[in-house]
Amino acid sequence: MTAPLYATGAIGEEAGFIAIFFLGLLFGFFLERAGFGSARKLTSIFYFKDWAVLRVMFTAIVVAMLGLLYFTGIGWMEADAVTQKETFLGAQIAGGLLLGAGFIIGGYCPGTSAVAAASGKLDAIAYLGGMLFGTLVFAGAYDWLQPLYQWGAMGVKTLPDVLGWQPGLVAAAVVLMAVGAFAATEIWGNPTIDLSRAWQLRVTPQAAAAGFAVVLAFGLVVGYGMAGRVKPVMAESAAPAATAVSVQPASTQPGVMTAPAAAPAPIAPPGGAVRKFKKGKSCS
Amino acid sequence: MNSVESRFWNPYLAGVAIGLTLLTAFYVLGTGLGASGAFTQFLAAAGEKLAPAWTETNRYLRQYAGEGKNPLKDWMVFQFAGVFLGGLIGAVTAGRLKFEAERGPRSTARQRLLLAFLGGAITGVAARLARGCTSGQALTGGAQLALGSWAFMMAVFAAAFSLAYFVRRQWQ
Repeated sequence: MTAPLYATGAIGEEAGFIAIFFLGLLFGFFLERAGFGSARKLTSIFYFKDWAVLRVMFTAIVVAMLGLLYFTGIGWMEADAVTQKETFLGAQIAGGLLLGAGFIIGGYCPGTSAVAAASGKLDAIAYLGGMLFGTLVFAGAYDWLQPLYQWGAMGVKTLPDVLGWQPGLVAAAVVLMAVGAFAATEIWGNPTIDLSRAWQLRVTPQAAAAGFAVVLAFGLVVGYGMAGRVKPVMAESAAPAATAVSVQPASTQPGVMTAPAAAPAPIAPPGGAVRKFKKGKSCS
Repeated sequence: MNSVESRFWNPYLAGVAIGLTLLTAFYVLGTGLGASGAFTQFLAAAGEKLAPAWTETNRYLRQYAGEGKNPLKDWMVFQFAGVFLGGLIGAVTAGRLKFEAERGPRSTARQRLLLAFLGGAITGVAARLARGCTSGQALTGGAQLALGSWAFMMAVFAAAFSLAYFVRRQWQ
């Protein structure tokens, strides 16, 4: 199995364009269903009224993060063929502060403004016009902005690199942080929850899903931990039930479960060429 | 909660759906999702038509436009078209398609549109500076545990929370 399908040449450019169109369609549809076609709903998190933005975003990050780590860990996907985001720490913090300002003033972020414009929101159309103008301003000031644009260039840097933790442990920390934030925002301002009677609370589907995510995350911790301990040759019999899924297939591909920085490419892509949708540019 | 609100999905369910979409994008294309990059392509395409000389000499836009390049034949553009159509299908099927400038009862449409344009313009600069927006950096880079993406995400929340007070009137 050679995934990512486009990057490894399993599907052509035309199929790639069709795929991204339909993925965009799903993305837009789900954003609309989450209520993100409304600036009032989007910004109400910043007035401590509605935590949907935090819940949707962190749930999506957790799902995609766990999926990526499992898929690359068990060898379904080539980690090296996935486009990695380069870090420009200063530029990204400055850009993030500015984007946060644009978000709260304008009411949208770029993706949600497209959904809102499609829902008939005239303010979203004004925001889209502003986006185009802002991009023009950036292009015009590109030379002048270079020091800021390149500020803090670090190449591909991940949290596991910086913290010196194995990726499974970072993923577990992210899951615990997300679940903690969900629990805090559910409990905060909800007078019907009496924490002193917490043990009598019914297990909701949401709590069950959160528990499942925590178990999955700790499966990664164990998987990466064992891969680190027994490398370069994996012990085939050393996979208990809980970690079998993440450890066993890796035994045929030594190095897959180790930290990305130390791991050589597990499978060389055909001809050594890995195609990227946008060469050299980080996508946005 | 009115009837339109009640047709919103549970946020965790919507989050799982978006997370699976993002994961599929990684699996199929090797790249995640993004939104703001489409504006660079649109600008490059418009520049080629309206100001070809300037576009060809501009050091940012000439990466996207010029000979042998079609800025509109780009994955960001196809995806943006998909997001727009997906949003439209979602709004129509939920009965939420309504032409209005969303604002608070004491705010004017003119004020709201001006603020929306201003916010969009600031975001346009910001997204290029950060090399992505909430989709490309926070969601996609966040799921990849990229350092810059997490720093970006924290900065977005910090700025939006601290400035919210000053623009509250547009929702009052």
